[in-house]
This record gives sequence, structure tokens and C-alpha cells, in this order.
Amino acid sequence: MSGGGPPKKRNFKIELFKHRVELDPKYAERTWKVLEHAIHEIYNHNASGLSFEELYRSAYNMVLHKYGEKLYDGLERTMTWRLKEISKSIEAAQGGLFLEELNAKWMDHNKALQMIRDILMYMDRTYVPQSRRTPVHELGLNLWRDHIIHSPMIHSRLLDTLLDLIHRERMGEMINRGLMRSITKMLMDLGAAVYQDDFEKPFLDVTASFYSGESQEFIECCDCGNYLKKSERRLNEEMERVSHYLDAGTEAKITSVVEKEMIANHMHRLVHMENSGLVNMLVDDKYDDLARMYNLFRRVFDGLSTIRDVMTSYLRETGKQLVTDPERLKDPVEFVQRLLNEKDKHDKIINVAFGNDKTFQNALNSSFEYFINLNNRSPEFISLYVDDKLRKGLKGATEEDVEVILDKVMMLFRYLQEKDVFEKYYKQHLAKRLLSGKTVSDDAERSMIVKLKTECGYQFTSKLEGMFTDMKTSQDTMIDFYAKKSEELGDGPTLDVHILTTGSWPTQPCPPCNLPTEILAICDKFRTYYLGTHSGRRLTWQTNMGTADIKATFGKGQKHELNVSTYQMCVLMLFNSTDGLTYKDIEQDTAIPASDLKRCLQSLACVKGKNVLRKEPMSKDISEDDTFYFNDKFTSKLVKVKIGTVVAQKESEPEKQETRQRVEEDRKPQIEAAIVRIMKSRRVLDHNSIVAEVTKQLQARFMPNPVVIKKRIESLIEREFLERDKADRKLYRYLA
Amino acid sequence: MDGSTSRVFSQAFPAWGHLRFMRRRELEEMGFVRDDRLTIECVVNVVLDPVVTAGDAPELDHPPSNILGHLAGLLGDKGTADVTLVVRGEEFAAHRAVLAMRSPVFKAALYGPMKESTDANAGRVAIDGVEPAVFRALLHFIYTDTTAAMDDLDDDDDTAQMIMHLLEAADRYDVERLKLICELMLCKSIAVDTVAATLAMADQHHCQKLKEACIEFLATSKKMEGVMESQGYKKMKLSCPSFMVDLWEIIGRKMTSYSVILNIYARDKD
Repeated sequence: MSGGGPPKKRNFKIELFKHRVELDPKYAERTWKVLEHAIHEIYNHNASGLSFEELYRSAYNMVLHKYGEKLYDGLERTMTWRLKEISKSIEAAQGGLFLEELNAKWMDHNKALQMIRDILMYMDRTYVPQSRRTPVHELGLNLWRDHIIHSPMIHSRLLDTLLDLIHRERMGEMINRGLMRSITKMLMDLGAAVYQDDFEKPFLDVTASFYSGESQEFIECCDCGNYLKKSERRLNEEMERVSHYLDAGTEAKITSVVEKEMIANHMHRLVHMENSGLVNMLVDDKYDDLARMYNLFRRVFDGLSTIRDVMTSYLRETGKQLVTDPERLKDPVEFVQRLLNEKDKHDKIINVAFGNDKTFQNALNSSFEYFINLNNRSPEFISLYVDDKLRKGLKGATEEDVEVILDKVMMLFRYLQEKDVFEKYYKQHLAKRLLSGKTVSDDAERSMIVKLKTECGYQFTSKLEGMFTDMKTSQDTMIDFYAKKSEELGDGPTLDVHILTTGSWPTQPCPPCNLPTEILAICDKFRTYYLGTHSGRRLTWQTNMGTADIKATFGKGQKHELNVSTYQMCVLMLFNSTDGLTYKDIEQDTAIPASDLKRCLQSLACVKGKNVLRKEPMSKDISEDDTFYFNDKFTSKLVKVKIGTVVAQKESEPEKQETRQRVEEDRKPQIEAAIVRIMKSRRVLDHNSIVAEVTKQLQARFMPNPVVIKKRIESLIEREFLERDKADRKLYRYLA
Repeated sequence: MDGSTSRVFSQAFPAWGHLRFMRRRELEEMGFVRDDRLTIECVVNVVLDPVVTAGDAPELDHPPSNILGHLAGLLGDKGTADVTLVVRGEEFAAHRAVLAMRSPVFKAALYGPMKESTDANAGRVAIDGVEPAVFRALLHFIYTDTTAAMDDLDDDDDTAQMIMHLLEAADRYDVERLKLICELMLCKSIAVDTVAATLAMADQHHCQKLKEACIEFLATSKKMEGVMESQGYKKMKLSCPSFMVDLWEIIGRKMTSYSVILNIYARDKD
């Protein structure tokens, strides 16, 4: 130490730091022996008698003096010897005790390893990383793996025991799950590779063949619903098994094995099973079975698409039969109701059993779209259905009920490819409803218009709205008419006029008929009044529509008020001057067209309870040789008698042809407009592209026929809107 | 039409109104039109979910942490101590939990299955191979996280010795922070006559920084002769000859003067 300076105060003395370099190998050997002894004591459960400090210090000294390798090798040797002894005792275990013995020895080894690792902490921290050897704990596990698990006697016995226990549990026996848990955890601790190679892979293979066999057995004896129940049960059982005593990573693998063996391999057989397959479930609304099938099939590749495909073809088949069945077609309202019921039924199935799966919803929609359009009268029938509801079906319904029904109808409407046909019919039916005053709720009508407008845009509904406006305007006009002209009119018949704007209402050709004089007078007065306030307009009386209330006095003085059509009124008024008239007389006097006249006379003379006229001869049909007499003997319990008003019916064949023709005519300008629009923006385009674009633009209203498109193109070429390219016949050019 | 009416709008019923326009005449007759004006008052109540914003908590003066002071207070507190460490006859009262908390070796010793964890031997544990003064300093660090105990040393040599002993103890008991602190302190006080010993110790106890600092010192100092004279150097040559070779290689790379290397080598051959 340095000298000089004042004496220093020292609180303690420190020895010189000695760099210890004791090289004595005998010392090292002695120290090792102490540690070796300790290791054996530890395995013999005598740890409590050992001093940690001493042992730790011994190991520390060895490492410090560069004997780390000797220590490490010694450890490895000792542990290996120990484990070989343990291996023998495990092999010797009898039957059921094998697993328990293995488990017990494993627990012991773990405890011992922990203590050994603690004692040798210094070596683990310094020598081991330096020399890149395996750390003590890992070494202990590896040695266990190599000398116990992979020992030939134990290896296969362990696997067989585990698989046997699992098999027994599958067959219903109770097994010791805690023990299983411990063993599988041991395998996982030894490394994921050990767990997978020495247990999991064989386990999965055995499972696959087990379920392959069981599924074959089930499918021979069970119906679809029961098979699915069993499958579900087995699946849940396997998942539960994993959660109780297997490693979590096994779950995905085992479920995919079960799914493959029990579901995927038998998918088609299940779905198509006679009397219990998917179609039967759909028909019988078996929600539970369907939900189960959905949940199980969802797990396998192509499972859901299999269900979807079968459902789609079933729907299309059923739907096709529905719309082409001639019986059904006799009652349009019933027809549409059936469609709505089918939609409701399947909506519910998708909602309850298929979890509102969008792909199924789409399949349903596409199926409906397919078969609804198979019958080209569908647009007409849907309009008739709405007509029926708006006339009487919705009577007494709440606002919400109305909305619900109309929304459902709109769903069907969306499926229609020929929406313009629907528009035509709807207009016709609406006109009849408005003019006969037979609508159950104004708000419901309006609501329907709003829905159509939302769906198809303003153009679709502008004319319909015009019809409503006309009705209201007519009301006001009549009030004004009577206010201004009441003195002039005096005692004449009362007139109620609906003024219809020509563009908005369905066009009806109307040959005029001869109105009775009393009527003519007031009609002329009205005409003068109207043209006075609205000059430049033209009024035409639609005598094929309209009603009249006539007071009639019969033979015994009974007075009745008859509600008749305009034509019928013209006919009846003739009988004021004479009692009997021939058919030909009536025809001449009234100038009513033949078919209408026949229908009119039929309702006046041939309907029981409404025969205010008597016909000779008394046959059912009207012939041109018949004679008609005023029926004195007419009786009725009612004072007011209604005689045959025109009701909207489904059209007769010629009428149908006519409507369709008109629809086709209307489509031509729409197609042309679309072509011109497209060509104007594209300038040059080939034939196929034009067809595709036109279809795209118009498909919201109807599906244009490519032949018609071609014709329209040619027409446009003639009128010099387009020209053909000189070189390429398929190319068209826009002419500005 | 009512004079006033209230309506609730929601997702299901987002709109409200009348389907038809009103006739002007009707409107005028009702008397709502004044001075050719019609006034419609709409009171809109919007119901929102209450919005709660996290407000800034008022700044409180956090009292400074005083856990270190309390922990330091435990040092030597016989009242709560549950183990006595006996170091070459000197006794130190300590707390198992605190020791275990700061050193994994103590933890294994005091909470393992062996003798030390039981109350056999009245909770006394013998510690060998450490000097009491050093152990006191170790204990001090364990409880206070500081090396203040060494401030008492006036003598630099003593301090250096103490630090070396303490480093060794820290390495043995795996108190890593103490080991690093000692390492840094030694780095600062490398001297010609101690560098060899320091280097040897650094090698033995795996103190990388200290090793590098010593080598750096050797490589740049011009006092190689002094070093080679020192006891520590001679001992090092004896105990770890292989290390010597590595050492000279490293120094050789760092040194600038070729002749000096030759010179030193020549002298070393003795």
C-alpha cells in the first residue's frame, strides 16, 4: 500500500483481492463429488438435508476456476444414469399403473431438475452460453425425452395406452382425465415436435379411421336429421376433450378430421337423402334440423354452396310448377298470394335457420326472379293482386299492415323483368278503381305510388300521379259548375263529371253512342261551361265508362233506384217511349257497338234478380233476333238495385294480345333513345357492345330483345342517325 | 289542420307531412295568413346520447416517492428480520423476501427445498468465501440500491480493492446492477500497477466493458514495462496462458508502433 500522508482512519480491513488461480485438479474432482452426491440425494427425495449455499458455492468455484466443462459433463452423465434407472422402473409397471408411474416419475424429475438448475445457476449463466451448450433445464428435458419417452420399451406402450384410453372414452367409459392432462402436458413441455410426432399425428390418424367407420355405420341406419344430430354431438365431444386434456393447438386439427369424415365425405348423400334430406326439411319447415345442417356444413369446404345449390334448384322447380300450372292461373290474386306465401316461408327459413346469410338471400332472389319471369302474365297478375287489395283486401287494416303488404308486393315487383308491362296494367287498373270510386284507402294508394317512385323513378309514376290530380280537379270543377249554373239547370238530371287528361289515362278508343235527350242537354251545358273557362281544349265523352242512377217505377207501383252503366242507361231510357224493342232497334237507336251491346243487354235481361228487361226467347245468350220488353214483374228486396258494373278482370285473349302489342310498340322508341344516347357519347361502337350497353341501360324496365335492337339500329341508319363503317360491317358510327 | 302538432322522428319514420298540397283558398280562410305572410314555427328537439369528455384533472402536486427510504429503513432492522446471515462470525439480520427480490441466488437458497429455507438451525445461514465488510456493502446495495457504504474509504487503493471484492460478490449472487456499477468504477481507475490484475478478474467474471477498457489502456499507454513488472501480470501469465496470446493479438491490432511490439515481445520472452 502507498505510504506517506496523514494516518488514515479505517473502519475495516479488506484483504488484498486475490486472483484465485488454484489449479489443483484434485480439488476440482473433490468438489465434483460433492455435487454428484447432492444430485443423487435430490433424486432420492433427500433435498431438505442439503445446504444450498454450500452446493451453489461449490459449483461457482468450479466454474470460476475453469472447470465448467467437467461440471457440465458430470451433470449430463449423472442424470443420464439416473434416468436409465427410472426407465426400468416405469417399464416394470403393470397394466393400468404404467401411466401413473410415468406421471409420478415425471413430476419427481421436474422437481429435481428445478433444484439442480438452482444449484448450477452460475454455470448456466456463464459457462453454458459461452460454450454454446444446452442450458440445464432444457438438458434435463431432452434427456428425459431421449431416455424415457423415446426408449423402445416405453415409447410404443405410452402411445398405445393413450390411444386406448381415448378410444374407451369415445365408447362411453369414464377415464382419468387429470392423468391424461398431465401426460399430454409433459409431451408439450418436451417440445411441440415431441407432442406432435409421438402423440398428435397418430392420434389424428386413429381418429380419422374411427370416424370413418362410425359415419359409415350411422349413415346406413339414420335419417338425415338424426345423422346430423349425432355428428354434432361427436364434434362437441371432441372439442370438449381437447379443452380438458389435450393441447389447445389440437382443436383445429381434430375438428377438421371429424368434419371431413362425418360431414364432407357424406355431404351429397345427406343432402339428397330420400324422405329426410334438405328438400324435405325445407318443405316441412324443420328449422332446427336446417340450422344444424347449416352450422355443420359451414365448417367444410363447399358445404354451404351445396346446400345453396340444392335449395336453388328446388325453388326454381317448385316456382316453375307454380307459375305454369294452369289451375293456379285461373285466379290471379290467389296466384300472387301463393308466391308471397312461398317468399315468406323461405324468408323465415333463411332468417331463423340460416342466420340471415346474404348468399342464401341472393339465391332466393335469383330463383324467384327466374321463375316469376317464366310466366309472361306475372306483371299483370301482380297488378291485379294490388288492385284486389286496394279495392277491398286492405279494408280495416292499420297503417302498418298496409305498409307491410305493399312492401312485400314491391319485393315481387323487383323480380319482374318486364316492369313496363306492369306499368301498363297498373295504369289500367288504377283508372278503373278511381273512376268507379272503389278504392279502400286514398293513403294506401298514395303509399303504393311513393314506393313505385322510389323503385323506378319519377317517370314511372308521373302519369299515375296525374290521374290522382285529375280526380281532385274534377271534384273542384263540379262544385264550381253547380255553384255558377244552378239556376240554369233547374230540375234536370244531376251530372257528375270526371275530366281525364288524355296523356295520363290509359287510352281507350271510344266510338260515341247516342245519349238520351235529357242527358244531352245537361252535357252540352257542361261542355259550354268548361270550354268557357278552359279555351283551346277538346272534350270527348267516354260513353263506354260511367254510371247512371235511374228511378224506375214497375208494374205494381214499386219504385226502385237502378244503378247502371252509361250504355245500359241509354238502352233503358228507350223504354220510356215504348214497351218492347227488337235488338236491331236498340242497336240502331243507341249506336252502341255490338259486343258491348250484347254484354249490356245480357246483364239487363238474363241475370236472375236483376232482370229489369224481359227477353224473348228466354235463352241465355243474346242473338240479333231477340226482342226485349220492359219487365213489369221485376221485384227486388232492395230499393237500390245495382246492375252489373264493370269490374277489372284478367283480360281475354284478344285484349291480352292488344296490350302486349302496345307494350312492344312503346319499347321501340325507348330502345332507339338508348341507342342514340350511347352512340352520341361513344361515337363509334361495334354491334355487340351496343346490344350490351342498351340492355344495361334498359334492364331496369324490361329486357330488350337483341333482334329488336338490331331492327332499331337499321331504322336509325335509314333515318341517318347512324351509319355503318365502310370497312367493318359490325361497326357503327354516330352522325351528328 | 291543427294549429300546432308535435311528431317524433326516428329511423323507422323519418318523414312526416301531408300527401296533398293545401288549397290556397282554404289556407286563407283559416286565418293563419297575416299581411300576406304565413309563418310556420318549427321547434326541433334533438336527442343525443350524452357526450362525456374526459376533463383534465386538476394538477395535484404528487408527493415524491419514498419507498426507497422505507426499504433502506429495513436494513438491519432486527424486529422484522426473519433470517440471520453469518459471515465469518459476523452476523447480519436480513429479510428473506427482500433478499430473494434482489438476487435469484438468494431466492433459490431461501425459498428452495433445501436446508436454508427451513427454520432448522434457527434461521441462520452460513455464508462462506466473502469478507464481512464486503458482505455489508453488498447488503447495503441490496436494500438501498446505492454504493454509499464505500464513501467511507479514503484510501484509493482500499477503494479499488473493495470494488473488486464487491464485483466478485455481485457476480456470485447475481446482483447485476451492482456488478455493472463496480465495473464502471473500475474502468475509471485503471492504473499501471493494477491493470493486469483487473484484466484477469474481468476475464474471470465476464465483465466485457472492463476487459475492453483494460485492453485499451494497455494498447495506448506507454508504460508497458511498468505493467509487465506488476505482480498481477506475472500471475496472469501463469494462470491463463491462452488468454495471453489473445491479449497480445488484440493489442497488436491496436498498437501503432511496430518496434514497440517487438520490444515488448522480446522482453516478455524472459
